[in-house]
Amino acid sequence: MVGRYADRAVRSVFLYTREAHPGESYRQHTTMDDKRHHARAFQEHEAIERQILLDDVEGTAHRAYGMLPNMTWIIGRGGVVYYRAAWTDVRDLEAALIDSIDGLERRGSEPLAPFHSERLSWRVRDMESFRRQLAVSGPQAITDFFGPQDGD
Amino acid sequence: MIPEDYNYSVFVMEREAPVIQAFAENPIRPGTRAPSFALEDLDSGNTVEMKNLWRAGLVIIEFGSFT
Repeated sequence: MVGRYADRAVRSVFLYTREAHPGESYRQHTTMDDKRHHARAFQEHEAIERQILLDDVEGTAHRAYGMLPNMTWIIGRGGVVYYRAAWTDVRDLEAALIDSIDGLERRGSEPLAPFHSERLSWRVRDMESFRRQLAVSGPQAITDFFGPQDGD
Repeated sequence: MIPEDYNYSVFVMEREAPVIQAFAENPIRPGTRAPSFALEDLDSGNTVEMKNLWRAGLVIIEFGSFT
């Protein structure tokens, strides 16, 4: 999606945090080496092409920005926050991005003033896909989220 | 919050509700200025200051992990 806006000076990065659902295969980080190892596995498994940046082990940036497991933010020059979302949803993100770009482009020719607004958004919650994702971490991750499984 | 609490070894659902509430109340919100922290670029190992990400234009920052 971001590629469509590259000519508008838009970039996208992934900020790697603590493991949201640690398990036997991907335990919680205790060192930066742990975090690097997990991030590289993520990069390869998901074929991530954008830049991956690692927070420190203490989660300094993650904690300051709200500590949710999959937030997305749009930030512009001067550090001005244009958008923040509790979850990452491409449709919602793209709508916010278009709105941000539109405002910045119109600002040069129209007397615009910024204002804060909020809304409720929706994301698809595919629990089977999520369960498969947890399985990558290990059986403990599934049990921790869904409870004891048959055969446990 | 001490690092041990941040880097939990077991996910506990009951811990999530206060985090969600705290996010809604986080003073860093649209219209305010985002703080900058030093991050490590995975590929190069170089330190990247967050403020350099938004110096030239808009940056989308997705927070997350493999799990």
